[in-house]
Amino acid sequence: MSAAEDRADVEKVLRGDVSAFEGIVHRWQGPLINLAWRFCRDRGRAEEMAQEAFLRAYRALKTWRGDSAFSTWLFALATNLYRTELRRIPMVTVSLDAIAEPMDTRTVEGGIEEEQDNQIVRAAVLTLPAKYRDAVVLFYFHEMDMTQAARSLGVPEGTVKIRLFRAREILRSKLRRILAAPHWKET
Amino acid sequence: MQQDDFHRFLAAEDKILPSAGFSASVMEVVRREAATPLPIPFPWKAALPGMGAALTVLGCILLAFVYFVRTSAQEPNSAAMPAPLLQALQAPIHFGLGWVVLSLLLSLVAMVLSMRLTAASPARIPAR
Repeated sequence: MSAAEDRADVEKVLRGDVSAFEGIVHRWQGPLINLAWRFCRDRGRAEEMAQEAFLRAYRALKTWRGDSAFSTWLFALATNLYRTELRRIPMVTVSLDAIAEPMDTRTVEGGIEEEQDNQIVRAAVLTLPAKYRDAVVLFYFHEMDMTQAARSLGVPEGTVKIRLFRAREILRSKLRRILAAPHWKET
Repeated sequence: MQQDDFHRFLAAEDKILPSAGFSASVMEVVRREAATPLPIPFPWKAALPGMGAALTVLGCILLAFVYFVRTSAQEPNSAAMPAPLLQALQAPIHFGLGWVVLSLLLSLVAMVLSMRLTAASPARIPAR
């Protein structure tokens, strides 16, 4: 249904009906903002990048040939833009030690501990070299769909697999020192 | 750390919702873009004959120059030209005229390629 709507809206826009682009924005604003959010962890910047992605999509709409899903084309375009933006202005990352340092040790129990680990893992992902970070971000954004992640990145699936494997290796070595809690098992 | 731990943390990602005015803001930018007149393209069709003619003339001049200098070099006693002028004309050969011409040609190719790449950026969609 969404694919048919996308196609219809694209055709309308290409015929000159700019307002038809609003349908595309409504359908894809959530995913594009969330993808940007995963890359930069800054809400304001995520929205700015998503807006730029929509503008680029509008300009390049003619280049979508329709042989792939509109979403595939849009995600590839957005991913390319986000990666370029992050190269241009890198995100501000905090050290893993700073995140790992509990503010109040009395409260570090149960859910809070889980949430803290969660933050540490995500922060560690953002400190990975760009090609590994991008593979991890895209893989989990596409709900562990390797094909979709590869299409968004514009690389073969095998490359994504290798990068994910390498990313996990790096993450393990980074987090081993910090996450020495008993619930983190070494493999 | 096990692979499952990564999956658990990274797959269970919080989602953020777009701001209330996001969609309107995007559409405003898109409408502004649509209202912007298309950039005037470089008139290649009109310019090409002139550029071609200029290049042909330049090539002929260069060829004539090289031919003349070579002929003069083979006949040093030729009275067709005063010696200082002949020396001045022969100097470029000693200083590597060929390399100069090659570098100029490479510059031209680089310039044309960069213009092509710039022109290959996505075309704007005309407003209604």
